[in-house]
Amino acid sequence: MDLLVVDRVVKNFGGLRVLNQASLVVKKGTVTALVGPNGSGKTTLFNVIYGLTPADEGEVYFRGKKITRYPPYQIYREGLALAFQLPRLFNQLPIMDNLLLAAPVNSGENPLRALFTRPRWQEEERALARQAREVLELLELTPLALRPAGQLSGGQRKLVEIGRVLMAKPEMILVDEPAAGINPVLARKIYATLKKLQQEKGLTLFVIEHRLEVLFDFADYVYLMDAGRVVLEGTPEEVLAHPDFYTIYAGESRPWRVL
Amino acid sequence: MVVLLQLLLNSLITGSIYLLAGTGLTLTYGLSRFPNFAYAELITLGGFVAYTLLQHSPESFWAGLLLAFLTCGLVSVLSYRLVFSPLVNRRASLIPLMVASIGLGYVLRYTMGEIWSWSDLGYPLVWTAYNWGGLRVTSLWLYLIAVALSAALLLHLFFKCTKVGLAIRAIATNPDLAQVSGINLERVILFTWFLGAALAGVAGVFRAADTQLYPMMGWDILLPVFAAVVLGGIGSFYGLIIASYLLGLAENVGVVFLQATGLSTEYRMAIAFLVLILVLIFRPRGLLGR
Amino acid sequence: MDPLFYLADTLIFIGIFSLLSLSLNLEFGLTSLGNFGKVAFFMAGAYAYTLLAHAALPPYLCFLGGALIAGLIGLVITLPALRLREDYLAIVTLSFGEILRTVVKAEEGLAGGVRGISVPAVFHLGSSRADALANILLTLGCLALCFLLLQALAHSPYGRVLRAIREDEVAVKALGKNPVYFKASVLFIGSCIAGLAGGIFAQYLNFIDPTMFLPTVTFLVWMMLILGGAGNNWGALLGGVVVELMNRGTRIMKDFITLPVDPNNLQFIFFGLLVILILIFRPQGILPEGPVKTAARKEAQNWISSL
Ligand SMILES: Nc1ncnc2c1ncn2[C@@H]1O[C@H](COP(=O)(O)OP(=O)(O)O)[C@@H](O)[C@H]1O
Ligand SMILES: [Mg+2]
Repeated sequence: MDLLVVDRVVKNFGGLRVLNQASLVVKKGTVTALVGPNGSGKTTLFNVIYGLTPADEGEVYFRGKKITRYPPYQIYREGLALAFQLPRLFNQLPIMDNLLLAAPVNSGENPLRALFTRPRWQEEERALARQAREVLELLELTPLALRPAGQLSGGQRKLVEIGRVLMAKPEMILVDEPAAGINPVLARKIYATLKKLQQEKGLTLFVIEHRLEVLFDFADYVYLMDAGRVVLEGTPEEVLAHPDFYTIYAGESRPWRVL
Repeated sequence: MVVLLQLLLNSLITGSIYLLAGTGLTLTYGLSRFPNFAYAELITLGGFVAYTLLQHSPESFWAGLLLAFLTCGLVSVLSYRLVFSPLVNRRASLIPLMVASIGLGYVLRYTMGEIWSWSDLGYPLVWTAYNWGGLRVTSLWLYLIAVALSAALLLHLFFKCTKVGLAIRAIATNPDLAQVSGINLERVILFTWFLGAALAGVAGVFRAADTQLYPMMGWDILLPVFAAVVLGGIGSFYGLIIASYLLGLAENVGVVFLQATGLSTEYRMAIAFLVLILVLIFRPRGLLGR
Repeated sequence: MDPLFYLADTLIFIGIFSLLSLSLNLEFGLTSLGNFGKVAFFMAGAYAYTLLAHAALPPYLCFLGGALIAGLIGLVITLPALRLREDYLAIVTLSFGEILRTVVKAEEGLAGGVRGISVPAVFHLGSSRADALANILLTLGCLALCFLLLQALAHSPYGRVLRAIREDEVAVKALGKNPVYFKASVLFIGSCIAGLAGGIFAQYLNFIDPTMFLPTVTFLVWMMLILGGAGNNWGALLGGVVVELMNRGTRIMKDFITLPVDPNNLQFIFFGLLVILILIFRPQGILPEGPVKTAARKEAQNWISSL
């Protein structure tokens, strides 16, 4: 089943055409990777899908429903979650709170419930805390749970960013370069966990990834982007075997100039 | 016909004050990214220093303008150096900067109250009044309009033809440019803080000469000046020119309307507020904002 | 004068201002909303209370109604600015403070215009000492209730979302929460509390007029919060007490010391400088903000200590 469909999306920044009729499909229950040279528009495409950047043209569908003009919080409620390329953590709040904020249901976030159904949301908070602990164990951050996020190193921030989408328990997650800035051993462990979630829970993953060995081991399907459009697609073997792959992959992407 | 002309003239007068008072506000707002509420007191300060000079020599209105220009510019630069620069260096966010500007406003306002008193003062000047076929004009109004328009023209040339001017305008509407343009940002900021406040001081002199002078004078026109800045588009000088005169027109037409419907003309201020709210709802970036 | 009355006056004003500074703490301290028109919502509550009291409603309904009306006004006025950058909210609220005063001044028929309006007293206990005591209890009771309420909100998942909005609205959106909804609720609650303070103020003084609601009230409330510690309800309370006492201190000093300058001018010059100096040298105020305390934090403390 086609879970996410991106249909001929165009995005201009000033005179720069960053997305040029980009189209792709992510099937339910797969790990799909998006690769491409720096500046080819991958992050912008994620931002458009997630409602952070409005598309100039084209449509995005999730589970057959058009979500093109939805704000991010509504897209999240449809079952998508995004981990930013550059982590956007709440620096003054502890890591724990950063994770709790990603939970899909927390009835105490309603001001009236916060006041009048305290025992109930306290119970929920305890349950969420246990869930957060599992995420922290996985990311090897448990001892730092109560540290303000602002005190973390770059790699640790990235981990918390990924931890947040894991807390969200969505149907599909978008992760922008999950392994950037993280040591290779831990990166593989994160991928293995994501893969496990995919296999056991049917989670769909759409990742932007640079490193080819990761693609081979984990991706079911690969899209190659260049200059704002999808130029190659297929299984990792097919795409990597294509004669043009390395020239594009290694090339410096030049977004289309329209002015 | 004469009524209409008078209405237009009044709008021109109101708009000229807003333009002079708002230029610095919109430019520094654009450059430094926060609204400096102490602008109200800089307007008032201009009125007071000129008042003192006129006490000693009633002939020197133009010297008073110049004194107001220099004093307000200097006080503004000092306040940037002593108050805002340390805050910016500490990476204070927007709201603390605004609170600091209000605090500064209190320091200035009550210092003026101490030096010059809290009662209403008037300039010891008499302006020639003309009656052009029913159209009532005073020489002061003509000076005001002339000064506002020539200031606008000079600024236009400055923005168009000088490197600093180009930089100010570019950064005021798009602060991301500051890094790439390779100019000395600090100096550009200081220059803008000087010039903008200097013009606000000039506005204060005209306002005081036309009405009355008291420590809250600037505060009482701050709301329409802000409305003009937002309507024009924050950081946009050309937007401000249009917005000032539009707002002047809206107010004067509004007053006629208020009188016709028997409502209090005290609601004049509410017109600026209405404009402000409508802009926020329908066109938050203003007429010419980015 | 009977010292009881002076004590009552002091305590009641501390109560009223602390309510205002607590409400600003919810708005600015937790959510980073720059409400520069606090006095307008205070005023709205005072006048709404008065009009309801003149309509002979029972006092508790007047207080409640005054608070709700102020809350609704707070909600409606700020809504256009909420989806925009934070400085727009500042300009709108500041302007509204001026406008509301203008309207009340201009509309003689509504509430006496510039002449002001009398407010019926709630307590008629037979002696003015008893009335003063009742007023103290009423004010401090409301203060205690609101404090507990705000403290509960601050240390709940709701309060956590507010702090998250303060830091990064886009990230909050990406995590499935609509910041506008939260900000609107904050301004509603904050304005309700300011409105309640207004009702208490009007009832205690038995008379209000537009000159009591100058922008200086807003400035003093900001000063309380910044001094006491934004983000911390205890700080807001402390600020309320300290600034009100300073205010009274200068008034007393006026009678004992003759200065070459007007003490009122001196006081506000000092207040302005104090605000600037705190912002530069101790932006967190006297009592800095602490973490959100819920069951989840306790859990985490338990596992960390068992590591
Ligand atoms: N907000 C923006 N304004 C202007 N240009 C942008 C903006 N965001 C991205 N770009 C440009 O769009 C191009 C694609 O960026 P991006 O999507 O981040 O690429 P990738 O993630 O593939 O490296 C780059 O040339 C970048 O400079
Ligand atoms: Mg990228």
